[in-house]
Amino acid sequence: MKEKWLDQIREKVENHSSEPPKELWEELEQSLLRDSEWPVTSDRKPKRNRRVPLLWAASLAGIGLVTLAVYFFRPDAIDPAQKSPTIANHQSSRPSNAITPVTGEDSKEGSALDTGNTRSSLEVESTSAMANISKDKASFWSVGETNVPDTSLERMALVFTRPLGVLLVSSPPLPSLPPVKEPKVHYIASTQGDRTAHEAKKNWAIGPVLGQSSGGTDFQYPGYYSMSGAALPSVALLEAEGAYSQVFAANLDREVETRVSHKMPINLGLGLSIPLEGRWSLNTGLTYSQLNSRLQSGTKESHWQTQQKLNYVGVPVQVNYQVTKGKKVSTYAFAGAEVKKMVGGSQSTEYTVNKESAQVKKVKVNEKPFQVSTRAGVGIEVPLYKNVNFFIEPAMEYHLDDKSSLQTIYKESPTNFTLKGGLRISLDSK
Amino acid sequence: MHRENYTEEILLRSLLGREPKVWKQWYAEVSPKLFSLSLRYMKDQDSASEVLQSSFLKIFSSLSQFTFRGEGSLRAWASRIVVNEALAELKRQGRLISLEQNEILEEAEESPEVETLSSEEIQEILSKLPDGYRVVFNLYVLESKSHKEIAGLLGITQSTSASQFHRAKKMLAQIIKEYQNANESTL
Repeated sequence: MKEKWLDQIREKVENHSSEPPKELWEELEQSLLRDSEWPVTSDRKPKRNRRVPLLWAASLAGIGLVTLAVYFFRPDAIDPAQKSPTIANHQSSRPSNAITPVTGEDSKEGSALDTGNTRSSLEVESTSAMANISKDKASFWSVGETNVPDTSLERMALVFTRPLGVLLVSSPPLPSLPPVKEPKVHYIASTQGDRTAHEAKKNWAIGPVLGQSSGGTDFQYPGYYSMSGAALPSVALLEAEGAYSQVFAANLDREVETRVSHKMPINLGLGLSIPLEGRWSLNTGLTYSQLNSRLQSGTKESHWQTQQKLNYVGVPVQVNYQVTKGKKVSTYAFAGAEVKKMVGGSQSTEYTVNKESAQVKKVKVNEKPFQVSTRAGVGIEVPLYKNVNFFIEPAMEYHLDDKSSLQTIYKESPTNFTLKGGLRISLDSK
Repeated sequence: MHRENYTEEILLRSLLGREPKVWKQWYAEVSPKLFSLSLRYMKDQDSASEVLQSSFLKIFSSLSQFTFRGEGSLRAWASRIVVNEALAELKRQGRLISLEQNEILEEAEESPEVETLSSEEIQEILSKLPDGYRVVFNLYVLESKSHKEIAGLLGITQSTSASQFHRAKKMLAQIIKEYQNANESTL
């Protein structure tokens, strides 16, 4: 019917593309927002997550300090049995607050953190692996009605192993975070930690600084997603060959959802304190941080699950101002910043089709951004040996956008409350 | 079971999640083709941008009503919306009225040589056709619409559509020839 040249024209025209003006998307975005085409934006990527009320942070910091002070002032009062996490678990009156050993257990939920790379590893999980986060606001605010304990102190679990303090904190959910159903504190294999402690005793220059941010973040979305944050990048489709399709085929006509959980970062490092004038001191060191996240997309039977592990090496610099100085304990306030560099990471994706593992694909994360954060807070210091001090410092941290496509807890909630503890060598001759 | 069979439906499911990031990504992916399509009808950048914007608003707001009918159906649906928006805009601007009033160019070449032309050049040449001719040509050749469908879309008779297309074709052949002659002389 048509002449050949017309067909040729059609073919050529079909291949033609022309970039629309750049501002077009921005205008479109405005219109979409105006028309409320994105009703879920506020619910889902909770903007509120990015603003942690200072009052909360301050009270948390206070509670943390008081609790720690109590422990440090009465070290003898600690029942040796409490060193055993299992006993701590039994002592807990609330199951939701249980401290449970992770080793060898609980793996079905996949909540056990891969601790292969960490020497002294501990994990605090503010939620059972896949806490079902309700999307509606009614239940969002019904924290008090769940079995979440009502006092912050109760939710703060502390495990103290001598000679090195290993701090484990599960702080109450910040109002900005979705409710968690079963807050759990996991204590992972302490043997390595003990060894580290001994090494630390022998050579005080290698003291681990352990830190935990308060609470991981969990999100639930309808539909499929991948770790890159994109819906389903075609690249991923190509990489996974048929696995994606199989998952998809198995889930036809079923409701699919994506759950993302960012675990709290694990920090290890060395601290050094350089005295300045009067009560001031300059503090720096070296930190190693590991960020773990998991994403599962699909249904319970058929899905892909990506475990992301990112390693950072950072240099913190902060100025401390000593508030009080005692024989046993000193307190200080501080402010500073930290620059972290992603040194390596991996994403391991397992495809499960009808409850059977179909394919496992592990890729290296090539993007290696710098992560800059600012932090301020208060701390307490306890002299351990000569000029080696053990310190604990609750802080508010703000993480700047690292401009990468990596999905991390820093990106999900740039402002968060963290608790750092560890060893600091003071160059003060006194 | 090939992944090609599912790519678009997976994408659709993701789009239904109404995630701004996902929409933006999809927009970035499909907008160049759709803008090119819009340009073929509207000719000028401003109108084409306007059409593209209103099209995307329609696409996004009616995503939930779209029924997936196999790979490619999402793309085809989006294209259809762009074409409809473009036609509506052309009508609004009064640019479709002149359909019957263009002079016939009789001595045009029957089958010009288009193999050597780039898609960019073809796009450029198509834009030289008067609005009425171009629209019928686009609908008939590029969108594979029948004259009956075109008649319905433009509110003209089938025979008008057929004659418009006939003239459009001749005119296009002539423009192509002129273009090639001009290019040869410059070489």
